[in-house]
Amino acid sequence: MNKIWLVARHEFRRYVTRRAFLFAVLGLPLLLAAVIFVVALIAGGDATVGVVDHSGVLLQPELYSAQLEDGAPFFVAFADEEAARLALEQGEIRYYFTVPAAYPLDNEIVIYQLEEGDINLYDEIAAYLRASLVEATSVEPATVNLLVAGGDLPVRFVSLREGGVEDPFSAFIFPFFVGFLLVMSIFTSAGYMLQSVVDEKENRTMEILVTSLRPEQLMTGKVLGLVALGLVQTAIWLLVLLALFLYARSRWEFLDALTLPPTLLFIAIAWFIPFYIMMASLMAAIGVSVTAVSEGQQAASVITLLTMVPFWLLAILLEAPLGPISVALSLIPFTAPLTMLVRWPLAEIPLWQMVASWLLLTTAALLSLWLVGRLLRVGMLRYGQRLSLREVRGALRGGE
Amino acid sequence: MNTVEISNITKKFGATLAVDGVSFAVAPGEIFGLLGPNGAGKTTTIRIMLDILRPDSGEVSLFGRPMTEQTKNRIGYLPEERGLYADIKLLDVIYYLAALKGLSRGEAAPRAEAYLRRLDLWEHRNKKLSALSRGMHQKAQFIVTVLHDPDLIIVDEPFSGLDPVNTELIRAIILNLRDSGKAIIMSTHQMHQVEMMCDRIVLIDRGRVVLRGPVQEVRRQFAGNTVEVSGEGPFAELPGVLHAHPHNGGWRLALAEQVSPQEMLRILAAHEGVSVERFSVALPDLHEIFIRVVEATGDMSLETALA
Repeated sequence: MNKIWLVARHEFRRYVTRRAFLFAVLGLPLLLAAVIFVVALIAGGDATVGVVDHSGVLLQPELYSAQLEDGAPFFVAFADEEAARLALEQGEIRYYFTVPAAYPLDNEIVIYQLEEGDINLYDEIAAYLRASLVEATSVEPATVNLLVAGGDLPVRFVSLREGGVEDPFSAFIFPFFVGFLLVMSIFTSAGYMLQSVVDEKENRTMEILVTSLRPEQLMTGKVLGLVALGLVQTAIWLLVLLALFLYARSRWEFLDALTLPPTLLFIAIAWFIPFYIMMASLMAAIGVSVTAVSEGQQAASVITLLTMVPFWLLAILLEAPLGPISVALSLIPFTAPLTMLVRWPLAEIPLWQMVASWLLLTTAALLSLWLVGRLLRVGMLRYGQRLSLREVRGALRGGE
Repeated sequence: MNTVEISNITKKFGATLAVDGVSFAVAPGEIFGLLGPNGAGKTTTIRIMLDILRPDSGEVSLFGRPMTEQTKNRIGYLPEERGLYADIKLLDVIYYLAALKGLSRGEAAPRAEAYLRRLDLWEHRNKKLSALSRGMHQKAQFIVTVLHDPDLIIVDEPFSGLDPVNTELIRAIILNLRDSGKAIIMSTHQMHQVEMMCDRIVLIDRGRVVLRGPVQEVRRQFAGNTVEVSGEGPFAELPGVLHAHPHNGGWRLALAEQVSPQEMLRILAAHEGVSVERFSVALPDLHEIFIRVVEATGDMSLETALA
């Protein structure tokens, strides 16, 4: 037990201080944060917009602006175009637009700007014009709101099928993203595992190691160390993601629909830990069986593809979260964690499926761990030679 | 009790018989030479001894019983090819591998310092292994092999890549360990080292033991009808001498077949005008014996080699 811990600690420390690891761990959140802040900056729209209204149809700009949300442009009235242009050149406003005297019969609105314009501005001005036109008629304020809302009329879909949810897209998108991050971090750790085993095998450190502890202890230690590494990576990613998510939701209302069911965390932990163990063990098994990292990567990519199947069949999972394909993917250990994460918010998954999925996955994980210890006995000394399938079978049966 | 006892082990890889009925025993306080040409089965024998490979038949006993996990802490192994972890600091590698041999940090630290200082690596202790030269690597790995004070030490080519000064340092440590009662198995192609250090040897060729015994006995066994003398006199013209050539400040005399070294001694003593300061039977060195035996076992029996 003690020696397993030593190996695990060694593997963890060895990779956690690597530049490539730090880059991966910090790089992704930084990239996400950068994207969000750039979007916030662009969509910020604290712009002040000048209004030259020759028609008198428009609502008083300052009054209209006062009822807008934060982040919308602020409209300011100018008596004529000369005054507006002067303000534009002096940087007091970023745009101004003119409304012709015969508006809306003459409906050409011109927006003046010094630099490339903000695409969102069109919508803002259109909303202002619509609100003004509606005000000029005599319609109920509620109707006005609906009219002003334009294409964004609030509509809710209600599924009458058992276990259906109101809005599949909003419900699954966040769990899906979490699953994606988990899979990403597994690939990172799995890559380290493959490299670590091939290195030790090729430089004969393996011989010193196996004359110090049992191959099974060595492999268990390595798997645990790299699983810990993967979990640290994922935890950092998720924390950053959560922070960004909360920030983004507080800023943009359309994100309100996105939810993060707390029970999701339970699914993520319960399913992904055995999944990590299985993937790390399989990578180690590949590392033991091949002679070079590049050769191992071919075999590893097959496993990667298997893991990605739920991504490809996402449409089916969303359409029928309780259908036969969803159930099948939940039971196959390679696809179980991602499938469960996607299904969880969409439908009430029957208990037997949860239990069967978890048990199959955990059994597969323990089996993989056992397998790699056995394989090591046969594979570790075959420098420059691949293990044949016959030898792999032999190793599983017992002897050598 | 012998530290290692190997009886009649056999190992096949596919159709090749890598080890064929090898037996030997190694006692505490001796250096045992495991010799043989490349591919003879030495490394396979070592791996079977260490339970890295399982033999098809035969038995290995270490400290009087089969290998256990506890036994592993009493063994130090220096494999033939060396790598260790290139991206880790020297001292950390030493501590890690020592910990796997059951050594606490508190026990490992003073010993590591002593060895690192003795082998001139102390100032490199915080460098990554990739920054060290091949010779330093070699010394580092030697430290890893002996740091946990193992009772059985197996070293495969311990001097490869070392300059004469470092070779001397490592040899002194190995001899010290022998004197303190450790059993040491050394596999090397450097026959002069074997002659200087080993108490006993086995020579393996094509998986079989073709020669075994204490080093001096083996050399005596292969001594031909040749003697070495130093002194004054017409050695070349003596009866029974086929030819004489200068050797090490004296003469090496090849004797006729019916003349034994004993008889030659008598002839020398009886001959007037000859003064002898030193007389010895010329022993072939192990290098010569190695080549003769291995060439002979290629297609003939050992008797041919001895002839």
